[in-house]
Amino acid sequence: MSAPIIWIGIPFLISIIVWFFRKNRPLIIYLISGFCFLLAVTALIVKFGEVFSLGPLTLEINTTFTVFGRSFILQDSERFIVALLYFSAGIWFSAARISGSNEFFLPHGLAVISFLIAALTVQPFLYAALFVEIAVLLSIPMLIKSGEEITDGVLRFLVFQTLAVPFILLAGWAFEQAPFSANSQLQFFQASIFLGLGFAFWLSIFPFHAWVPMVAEEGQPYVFAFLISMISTSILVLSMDFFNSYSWLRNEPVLLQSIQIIGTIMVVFGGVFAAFQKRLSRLIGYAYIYEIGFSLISIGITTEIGWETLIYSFIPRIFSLMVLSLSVAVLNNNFKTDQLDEIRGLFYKSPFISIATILAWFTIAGLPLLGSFPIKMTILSEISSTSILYTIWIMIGLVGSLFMGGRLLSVLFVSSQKTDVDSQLKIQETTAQAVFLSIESIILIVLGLFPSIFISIMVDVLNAYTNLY
Amino acid sequence: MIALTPFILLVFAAILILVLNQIKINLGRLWLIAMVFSLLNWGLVLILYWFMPFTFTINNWFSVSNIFQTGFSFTLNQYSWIYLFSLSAVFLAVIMSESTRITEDYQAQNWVASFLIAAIGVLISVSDSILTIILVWTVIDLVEFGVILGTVKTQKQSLETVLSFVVRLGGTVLLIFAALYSNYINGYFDFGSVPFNIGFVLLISVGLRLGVLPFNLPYMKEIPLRRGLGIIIRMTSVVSSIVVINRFVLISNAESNYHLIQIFVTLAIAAGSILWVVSKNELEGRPFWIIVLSGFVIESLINGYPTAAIAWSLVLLLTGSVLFLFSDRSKWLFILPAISILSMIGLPFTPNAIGLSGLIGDNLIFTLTNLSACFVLIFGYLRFALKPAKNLESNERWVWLVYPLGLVLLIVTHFIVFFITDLNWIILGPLWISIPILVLSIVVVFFNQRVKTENQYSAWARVFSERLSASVSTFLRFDWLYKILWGIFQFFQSILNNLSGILEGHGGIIWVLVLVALLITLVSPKGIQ
Repeated sequence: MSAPIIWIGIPFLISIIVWFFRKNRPLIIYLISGFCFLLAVTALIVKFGEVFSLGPLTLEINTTFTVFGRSFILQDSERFIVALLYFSAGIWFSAARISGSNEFFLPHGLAVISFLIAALTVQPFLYAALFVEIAVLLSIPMLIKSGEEITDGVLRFLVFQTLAVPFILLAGWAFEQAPFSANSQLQFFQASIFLGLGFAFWLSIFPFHAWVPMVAEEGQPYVFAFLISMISTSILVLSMDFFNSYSWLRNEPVLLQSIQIIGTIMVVFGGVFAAFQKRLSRLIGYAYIYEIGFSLISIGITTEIGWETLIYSFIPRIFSLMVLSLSVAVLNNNFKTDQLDEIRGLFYKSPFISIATILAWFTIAGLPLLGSFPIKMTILSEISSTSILYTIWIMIGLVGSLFMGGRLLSVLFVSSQKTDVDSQLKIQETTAQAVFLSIESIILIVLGLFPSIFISIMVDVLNAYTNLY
Repeated sequence: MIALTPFILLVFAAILILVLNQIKINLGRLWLIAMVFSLLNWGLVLILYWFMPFTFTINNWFSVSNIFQTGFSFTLNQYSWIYLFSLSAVFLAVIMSESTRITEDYQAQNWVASFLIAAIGVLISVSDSILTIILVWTVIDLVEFGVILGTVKTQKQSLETVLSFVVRLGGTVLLIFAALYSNYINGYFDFGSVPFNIGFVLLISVGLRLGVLPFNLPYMKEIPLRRGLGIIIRMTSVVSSIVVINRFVLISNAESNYHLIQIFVTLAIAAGSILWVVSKNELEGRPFWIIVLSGFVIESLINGYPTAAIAWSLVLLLTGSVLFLFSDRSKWLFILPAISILSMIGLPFTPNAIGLSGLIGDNLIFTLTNLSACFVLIFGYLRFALKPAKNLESNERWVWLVYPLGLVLLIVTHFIVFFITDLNWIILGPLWISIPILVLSIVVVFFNQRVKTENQYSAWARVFSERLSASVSTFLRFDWLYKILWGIFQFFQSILNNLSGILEGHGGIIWVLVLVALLITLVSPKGIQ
């Protein structure tokens, strides 16, 4: 048995089988989320490429699976990323019913993850672009509300993600040709431009980000957050692979400088635009832009610390987006609105939604005591050791997002009525909503208080990328 | 770990009281347990003085970045001990004064909360790294936010609570920026080497949290939690800020080029002292007491008297607490605030003799404003202490002993700190200030008592002070400024919404191409050629 079959092939097969039973949601939710947890735990426990004993049996999980001359290689160090994707998907799927997601979310979501993992493992890596595209195509039915037509945001999402494919393919071709070219420097440069554009489309880097808040507000915030979290995590790991493989990329100062500038623009853009938003769902989009900005800055640092922060940022990012999107989805389901003006004093009606929203947003913003604070402080610390200008700009983005946190506090905790009539807690969430929001909020608090937990989980991931530093 | 033993003791006590309350133990016994533990805490901190210093560090909290290399660091040394001991005295006095309020609702829960906040106060006092301070600041801000939000009743009070939290968060962000700026200049952050520009940011950060820089009053009225838990929250929060500036300037000695900051601080001191003296009572005036004395702390540091800053901090905490806990009164009990205020007047060889020196700087206007404010503060203190209030004798007899003993403990603590610490502050002090202030205080108190008997004048004075208080505080609350800022916010909001509309509209993709071209010119070192 090989690892790619277990963590790519079988999940894909199961997603096909459960597609036929998608109407039976409770059963599908238990089955798929349980299966995801099983895959995550197995990935954490079992070492790839080593023989291990299971009672009287001895088993070996091969790292490679070859089909039609193409290989899928799942290295031992990559199992933590696999575990992270399946574990977070497990939690995401288990709250599917209270989130108002459609019937395609679970089967398609599982298939999306298997294709994203396939993209991370396939050799030659050019095929990664195709696997990501398949994942994007599979995600479209998840984003459309039942009985409604495809929206502008979803269309733009599809167009921008698809545009990435030719650029990545061209980049791969150019990188292969460059060493044999008479003007290899120029060809490397062209290849890096293609690659940059490809990743810019994939990660919706400024100015290709416009679809992000559009999709976020078009009705499926929970599914949207799932997609952007999974796709961005996979693409960022893929980008590490590129940097690891091509020394030219690591040593080109113009490229690294550009990545830092664009990262800074995204942090400022995400933070400042978030500060002025009127709808909670759009905040998910700006949170994503803000977070990707920090990831780009981490890449631009190119030191060991930079790559470490990139890897460590995955866990708090995924969980904070998960909590924020769940609270927005539940809010939409319960009150049919996520306009800030219409949810004043929400804490006194729905304390679980309010506290989860606040915790998630402040985690994203980087408030001390919460999960992403040590990561953002580390990035700022690294940047500040070389440039105070970048530091100031990033701080502007950070202040913008914290300002939004302040606005959220004033909206959620200040009643719309001047008297104290409204100031008594009347819990309107269902038990399931309260339980899920509480568990996920507790995860955020634990991540903030004990960041060494996610360090210890992710510390081995970098072993696969020995050339990076 | 010994540095954190008071923290462990207080958390244990909080859990114990919580459990005992759940099994319906008599409130009187619970109070007794609370008092025993707070007394133990006070005694423990006192004993620790002779075994200092202690350091406790946790290095591997997030061992990735240089900025976290020191991790969590807690140090109990002579400076941190002063704040720790003062806070433990305030806490003990609060618990002892609770003897007059045992029958009030939710007292047991209040005591649990008080113990937890006092435990956070321990962390604040001994925190010794930038990371620890940032996190502990956030903890105290969140606790204060939660506790106050749970007690306020109206929309306005809720909004003020949020505003207060946001302002403090702003202070924390500035502290982070100061650390990063220091990292840029020095390659590390160290309390011992703070150059002017970083000290400038740091002072604004702390000043913002204290309500001094710029003068800000998030709470129009004092919080509903007035005595007891309210005092512990307020004082712990204040110490969290003061302990930081005292620490860095103690070692680095600020240069005298902080004039811009001094202007704002002096303005805050002047306004705060007026608002203090015209307040209805000591609890309404408490925010101004804190602002003015925090201002004195900053002024002393800028004038190069770090020990004076400590002296003013003690006045803020201990002398202030004597008045704020002075809820039950009798004729002879006035002696306690009177003795307490003597330590503020700065008579020779008293705790604040050095404090007055800290208010004297190069600039005559600043110095005169500070000294006038000091006098106004003392006058207000005596005025409030002389006001009639609930009679102590209306309580049970044992309270007659326990309650004043709490206030006595605050005064005794002040003198213990003064005599046993080795800060060279047992001095003659500026007699030309302290003697006139003493004389003036006696005269004014005498006249105040006389005016009280003249109904016509006292009514006029009351109306005048109320009107003055209302108009000054309306202006200084910066409501007009907030309205302007809100207008600017809405202006930017409309611009950014239009921008989003353009990018997300049908022409959005064309705009994307234009932005790509612009971006290339930005990131390309030579632009497009």
